[in-house]
Amino acid sequence: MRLFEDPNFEFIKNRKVGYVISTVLLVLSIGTILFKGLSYGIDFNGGTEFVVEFERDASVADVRSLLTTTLGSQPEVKQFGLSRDLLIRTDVEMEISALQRTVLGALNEAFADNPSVIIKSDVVGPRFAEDLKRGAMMAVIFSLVVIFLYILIRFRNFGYSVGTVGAITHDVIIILGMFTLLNEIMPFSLDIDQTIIAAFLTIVGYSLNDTVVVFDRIRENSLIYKTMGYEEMVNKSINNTLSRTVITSLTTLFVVVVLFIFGGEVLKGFAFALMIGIILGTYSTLYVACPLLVDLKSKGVAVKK
Amino acid sequence: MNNKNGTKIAFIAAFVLLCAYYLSFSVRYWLEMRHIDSLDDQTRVTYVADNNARIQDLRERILTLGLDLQGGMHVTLELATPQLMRELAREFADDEFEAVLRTATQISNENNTDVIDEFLREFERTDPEARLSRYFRSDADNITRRSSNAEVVQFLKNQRNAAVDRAIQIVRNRIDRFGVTEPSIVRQGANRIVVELPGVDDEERVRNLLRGTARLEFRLTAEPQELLTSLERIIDFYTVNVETEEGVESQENQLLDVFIPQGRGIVFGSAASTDTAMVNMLLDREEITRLLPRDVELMWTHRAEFVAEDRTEFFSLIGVRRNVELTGEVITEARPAFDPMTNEPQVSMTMNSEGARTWARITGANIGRPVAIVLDGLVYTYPNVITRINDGRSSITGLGGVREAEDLVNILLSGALPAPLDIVEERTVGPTLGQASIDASLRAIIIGLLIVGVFMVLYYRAGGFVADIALVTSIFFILGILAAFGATLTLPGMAGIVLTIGMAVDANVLIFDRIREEQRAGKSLLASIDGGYSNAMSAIMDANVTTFLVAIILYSFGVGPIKGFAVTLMAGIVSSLFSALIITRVIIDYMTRDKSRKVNFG
Repeated sequence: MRLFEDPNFEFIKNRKVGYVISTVLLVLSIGTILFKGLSYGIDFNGGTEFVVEFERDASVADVRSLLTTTLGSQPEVKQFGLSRDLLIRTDVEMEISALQRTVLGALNEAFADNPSVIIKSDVVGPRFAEDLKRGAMMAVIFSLVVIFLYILIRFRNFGYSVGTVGAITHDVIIILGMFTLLNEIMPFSLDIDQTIIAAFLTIVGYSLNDTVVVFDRIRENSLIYKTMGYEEMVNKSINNTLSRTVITSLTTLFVVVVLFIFGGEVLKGFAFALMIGIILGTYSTLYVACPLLVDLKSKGVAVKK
Repeated sequence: MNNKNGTKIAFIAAFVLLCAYYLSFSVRYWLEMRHIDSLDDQTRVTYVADNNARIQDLRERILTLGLDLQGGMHVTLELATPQLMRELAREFADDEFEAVLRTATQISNENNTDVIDEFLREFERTDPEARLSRYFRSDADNITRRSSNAEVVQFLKNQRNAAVDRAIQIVRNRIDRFGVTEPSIVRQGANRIVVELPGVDDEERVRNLLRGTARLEFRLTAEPQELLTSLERIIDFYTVNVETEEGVESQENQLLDVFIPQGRGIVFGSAASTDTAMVNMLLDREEITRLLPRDVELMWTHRAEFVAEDRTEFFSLIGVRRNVELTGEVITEARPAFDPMTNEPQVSMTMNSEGARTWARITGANIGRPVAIVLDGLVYTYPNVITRINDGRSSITGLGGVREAEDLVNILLSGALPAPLDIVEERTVGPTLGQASIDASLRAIIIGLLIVGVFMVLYYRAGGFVADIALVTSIFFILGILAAFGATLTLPGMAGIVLTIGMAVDANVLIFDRIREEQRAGKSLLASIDGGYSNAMSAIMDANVTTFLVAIILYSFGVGPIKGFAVTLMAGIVSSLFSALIITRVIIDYMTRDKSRKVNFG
């Protein structure tokens, strides 16, 4: 079977389309983030979260209203995979043991015929959360810097570095925007926590991987087709590697979809981030990284052969 | 060519054997566990006893599962530095010290900075001339009145360092007495301790066990009449007259919204467990503490004093004297016991002779009045003294059960912590959820393998089949590498394996696409294969080195499970590169060993 046997799509000529799409997505994302604010999970906000497993299905609304009375403030209650597992998150300032006793006591009293137990609990203090947030931010920024430098050293050229890091930043901002926008709509939590940051860095790695392969080909072709125009040569390189780009993206997308469907509730948000990330990472190689490289060259930014 | 492949094959064999060796422990351990499970109770006990050393040895070398997979409790404790500083300054501390320390604590909480540095800054700001040595002395560390501020700060940091080391030792003692298989207790940064307890799900017991300083105090209590007067004044303080729209005057009281005043005996008042934080906030103000009798402070009871119909627990505030008459240092023996009258569990304690003398004096002088037994800032009991106690005996009652009595004895005997440990992070996963996560991720791995495997064969034919072999071996190598380095397999780690399945084929995709290109250019099969491998090399290397760099960053920033993800990602890169470059090459060379054979790359 062969897809894209010797393809010849005009990626570079149509790069304006990509720029428009990306700009729209970026503006939407940044707008959403500024307007709604990033929604952090307890890792970065601090708080208490537990998953309560009932013997039979339980109603989110009933549990929410019951606990609002018991705790004196409304907790966040969401389904956690199975409809008998509920995730309860609260920022009530209470000693954790007392809090758990209060919640379980109230639940088992109100739903006496449907007993419940805590199967998972997470408590993060505000100061610790602050540390985690700082660490995560450092990791994302640091990885972008390292990538910029590696590409600069390996390709000895500013344009490649800007193209790669530009594409990656583009991906991360759009995913952040989508997470913020979709958090309330999706039946699982899309709050930003440590696992999501791990997913982001994986996406960074993936998007990079994808871009580097094309850039590598551009560098190789620039030595072979010395008389060819730069735009044409870049476009040829994209087409040369298109089959690989699509196949690798597909296989990776397959497993991530599998992870999303079968990987269990804990990894839902993580798998979701990767799903969007792989699609975006592939798109941004073709429509952000390479066009940036071409336009930087035509603007006279040092792009050596 | 043949010779070159000889080296490669030897290399592959070595790698396979090495991984098999490291994984063999896990397999043997697993078989051992299955064997033990199949035995009946009687034989099991003897079998385990006879083979204990061997099983222990195996367990240390298996591929460990993270707490998120096997269930257990992960706790990060933080040593309360301000409390340690109070302790160190003990005799010299004055109001100014307390005020500066409070501000410094607040600033350091807000800015996430070291409270010791903030203390110095704040101290120098209030009085540029003043010297920290006013508050801290140590003969052992040569800290005298003339020591410079920098020296004192260094001394404080050293003291904190030592305190964390001692705390680790004490936490280890407590956990050993508690009995957990394979606990892990490690230091993190300047003042944190990470405790991992596999298989533990009795969270409340563990929390109490970990954070208690075991600071036991015997204190006298407030004068009931004085306490009542203070209570009235404090209620007045919060009473506000408000006029409703109709012009009717009514009173509002912020405190009474959350607090039930009592004023009977030494019980100041009560509050629901949900409201204690609010009450603390309202009462912990200078204007309020000034209204209390001199030398009196309020402390919560350890146990709920009563439970409302809706199961809300109510705790009480007790008026106790600030002055500590006796501390836990005088306790020489503690054991769980039962109250002979009520048959309730309690902890009986014996004091040394010096303690017994003081205890006799205190009890003798306070017959008919309550004394408070305070542990870690909570009042456990406040019995009325009936008679002078001469033999240095005392007991802690008001416990939740026999287990609590046992844990309390454990804490008392393991030694007192130099300063309280706060739980700043706690993550608990129950065993059922852990098993569900294992099942789910294994399913994802198998389904992922099948889909990618079939796709590769459909697309690259014989080449795809070879890539599939490489895929399976690379998963085997990942597990082998993890076992060899003693890494822990976490749930994100499992996700890392799933992801590797998708990305591992990339190298082969790059190579096969190149081979197809070479073939299209009219080269022979063998030349195409050679060209494919060598031309794809640079792209493969760049792609993998960069991903590896990201994995390293992920490793250095991440904690617990995320580190596990980063480790599998790194192991995955190494394994898949090895498989995709070397193993596939050897297989393809074998398939094309005489020129008549064809390998179809789709």
